[in-house]
Amino acid sequence: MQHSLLHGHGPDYQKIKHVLLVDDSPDDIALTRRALARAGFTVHLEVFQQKEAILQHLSARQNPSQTVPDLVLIDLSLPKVDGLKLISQIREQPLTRFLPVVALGTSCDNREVVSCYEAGASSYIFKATEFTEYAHTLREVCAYWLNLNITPMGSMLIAS
Amino acid sequence: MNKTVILVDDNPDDSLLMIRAIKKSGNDVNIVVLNSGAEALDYFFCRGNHQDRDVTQQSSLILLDLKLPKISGHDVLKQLRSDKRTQCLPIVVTSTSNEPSDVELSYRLGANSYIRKPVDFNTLVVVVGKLCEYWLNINFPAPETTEWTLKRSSC
Repeated sequence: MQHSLLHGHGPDYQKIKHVLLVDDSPDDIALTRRALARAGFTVHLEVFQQKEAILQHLSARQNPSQTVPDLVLIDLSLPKVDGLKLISQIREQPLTRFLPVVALGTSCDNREVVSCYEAGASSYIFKATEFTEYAHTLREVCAYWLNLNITPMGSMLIAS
Repeated sequence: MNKTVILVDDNPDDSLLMIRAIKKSGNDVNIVVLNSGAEALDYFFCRGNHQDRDVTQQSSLILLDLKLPKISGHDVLKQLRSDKRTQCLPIVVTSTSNEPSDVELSYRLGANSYIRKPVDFNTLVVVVGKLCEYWLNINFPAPETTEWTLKRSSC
């Protein structure tokens, strides 16, 4: 009941949400899938481990309404991906500049947090190592960004 | 220390409803109400009536209405984002508007998020509860910068 009440305050305009995850740890990816399932969200989760692949995917123009995700989660601890640079590049592309981009950090270092926001992150979250805590956090992240937050794309769908 | 929620809204009835909703949702926070775009800018830039405000009281969440007289919510957003001292503040536009142009402009000017304010109070309580839960307990805001300390010492 609460989901339908909160979901854009109107009818479910998009039942299956697309979440894009940038992470290279098989264990963390599996944890994320479990956490999303446990939270009760029906999402299509796409995982990317390399910056080039994600940017190519996001810039694909064949079918924009399918390729634009509803939420991007970026693990900042990836050794091969500069998370800050990726956030900036996502913000530079017209198709993705208004996407909710949530940075998942493990240090909560002040400089890292500020850098994320300066790069254009919508939000910075502490990525807990303990599963229950991580699942709770992910549930709240998805509940907010997938059900409550309105994006330009979402507002056009509600208005139509 | 309790977290601080800044409410920028010129309609006293709407502000009161938001305050009631925040309290009813169980969030024990300090709430600062700014009644106009001009007052909001004075508050965040520590000038005018707010020049002596406590800059160590960090804004954990700013709920910004769009329809403000003279200086609109979008104007406030633009000015806050153009200053290094305020560019990382967590700003959520809360508006009854569903106009795609309002939503897009909000993001273009740097809003973190856009929430449509429900007209029904019970739904407002639920929405505000989720809003506060996320931005106050899940999200990590950018910490207070040293810019403010430098600014205050130069006044």
